[in-house]
Amino acid sequence: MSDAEEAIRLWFPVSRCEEIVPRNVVQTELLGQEAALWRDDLGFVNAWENRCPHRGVRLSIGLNTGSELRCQYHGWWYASITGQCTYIPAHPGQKPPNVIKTKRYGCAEQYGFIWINLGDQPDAAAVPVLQLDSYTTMRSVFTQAPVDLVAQSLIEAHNFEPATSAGNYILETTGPGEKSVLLLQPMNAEQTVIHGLIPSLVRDADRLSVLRQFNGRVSEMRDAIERAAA
Amino acid sequence: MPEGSGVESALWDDWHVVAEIAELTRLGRIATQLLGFSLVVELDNRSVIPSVDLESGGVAPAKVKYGYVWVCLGTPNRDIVDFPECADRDRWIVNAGSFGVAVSGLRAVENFLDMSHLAFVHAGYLGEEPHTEVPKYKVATLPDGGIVATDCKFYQPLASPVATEGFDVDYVYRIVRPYTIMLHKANPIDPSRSDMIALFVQPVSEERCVVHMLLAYLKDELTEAAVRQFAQMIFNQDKPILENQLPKRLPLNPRAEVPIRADAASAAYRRWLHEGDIRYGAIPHDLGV
Repeated sequence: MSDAEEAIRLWFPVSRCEEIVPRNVVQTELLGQEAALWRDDLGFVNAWENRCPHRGVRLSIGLNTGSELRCQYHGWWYASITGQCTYIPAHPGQKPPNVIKTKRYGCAEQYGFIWINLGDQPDAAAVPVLQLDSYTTMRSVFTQAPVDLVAQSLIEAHNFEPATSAGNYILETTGPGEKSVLLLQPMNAEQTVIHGLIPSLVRDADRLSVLRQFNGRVSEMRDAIERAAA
Repeated sequence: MPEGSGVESALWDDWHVVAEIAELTRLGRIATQLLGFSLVVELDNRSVIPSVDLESGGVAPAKVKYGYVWVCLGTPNRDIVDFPECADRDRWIVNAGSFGVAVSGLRAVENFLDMSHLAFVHAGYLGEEPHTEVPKYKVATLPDGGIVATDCKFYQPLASPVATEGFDVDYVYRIVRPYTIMLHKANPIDPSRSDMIALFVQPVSEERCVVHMLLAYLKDELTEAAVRQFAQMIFNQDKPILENQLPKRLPLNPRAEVPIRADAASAAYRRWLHEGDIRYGAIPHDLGV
C-alpha cells in the first residue's frame, strides 16, 4: 500500500474546535480533497466533501441554518449528521429522492482539534491517542512544503520525534522539560499545516504571550523548511 | 495556423468572439487567448477588419459583427450565428460587458440556462422566495443542431430595468452552438414582443472563459446605459457562484452531478455536447464520475 493510500485511512486534525463556530461554514483541504466543516446548533460537527451533489458549487459558501446547510446556488437543504437532501425549492411539493445526499467524511473532536478521515469506513476509535491530562492548542502555521519534508526536517533539524507509533504526522519535542506537540495536516502534495499544542493548561493571563512564543518558534522552523523545499 | 491543436473541429473551425470592437477602438490592440492559443487583435487605421496574429505564428481570419470581433482559428465551416433582432430599429443593441470568469465556458452557458437559481442568486430581481418553483417546460432539439427550451415561466420581481412590479415572465432559451446561448424574454411593457440576450462565451482555456453579453432590448423608456448597468449587476451575482463550482470543467456523465426535473434543459445540453463529442471545457463521459 502506498503512503497516499494509507494516509486516506488515517485521521488528521484540520482545524481548532474553537474555529468551527455555530452558524458558520469553514473550508479546509486534506490530501487534495476540499471539505466543508460546519457545526449545528446542537454542537455536532459535519465534515462534507466541499461540493453540492447537484451542480458542484462549494458548500463552504453555503448557509448554516443551525440544522441544515443550504446551498447558495439553488437553495437545496442538506440535513446535519445524515447529509440527506431535505428540500429542493424548485420542486417545493416533492420529497427529495433519498439518493441525493452529500458525501460525508469521518469527523471527531479531540484534543481541541477537529479531526477528519477521508476513508470509506472511518473508525472514531482510531483517532490517535495522546497521553495528555490537559492541553492548550496553539496557533496553526501554514507551510509551503510537502508533509514528508516537513516531518523529516522537524525530526532531523529541530529536535522532534514521533509521538505515536502511527507514523510521522504527530511529533513531540525530544528530551526533558515540557513537551510541545506538532500535528501535521497534509493539505495536498505541496502544502502542509502545522498545528500545535502544549500538554498543560495556560492561565488566561499568560495565554497571549505563550501563543506568541510558540508561534514564533514554529514560524522560524517553517521558514527553514520552506527554504529547504524551494 | 496551428496544426494538431487537438481541439474538436466543431469549435476549432467555428467563429468565436474575442473582443468588443469599442474596446479595441479605444485601445488599438488587445492581447487575449482563444482555445488555449494566445493571439493579438489589432486595428489598422486603413481597415475596419482587425488583424489577428497568433503568438505561435500565422494569422487567423477575423470579422466584425454585432459590435464584436470574431475569430476562427481553423477553417471556417459555417457563418457567425444570425440574430435578426439586431436589425430592429426600435431596439438598443448593447454590448453589455465582457466578463472574465475562472470556470469552463460550458458551465457559464449552463448557468444562463438555469431557472432554479434565479430566486437565490438574483433574489429581488430575477426571482425571490417563496416563488421558487420551476414549472414543467419543454425541451427539444433545434433543426440545425442545438437545444431549445420553451414554455418556461418564472416569477420575477424586477425582470428588467423598466419593470415596476413582479410578474410571471415567459422565457425561451436556445443553445445554438456549444458556447453560444440566447434568451428571449417577454418585454414587461409589451408582452407580445421579447427582449433578447445572447451570451457569446469565449473559451480562453478549458477552465477559463470570457462571457460577452449582447442585448437587443426594446427602447421603451430605457437608456443604453441603464440596460448595460442592469446586465452587469446581474452577471456580477453569477460570477462568484460560477467560480466556486468544482470541478471547473462541465461533467457530461449524468451520474457525476444529480439532475432534477427542473434541470431538463441542462441535462439535454450535456447530452447534446456528449453526442457531438464536444470535449473542450468538458469532462467526457468515459472519464469517470
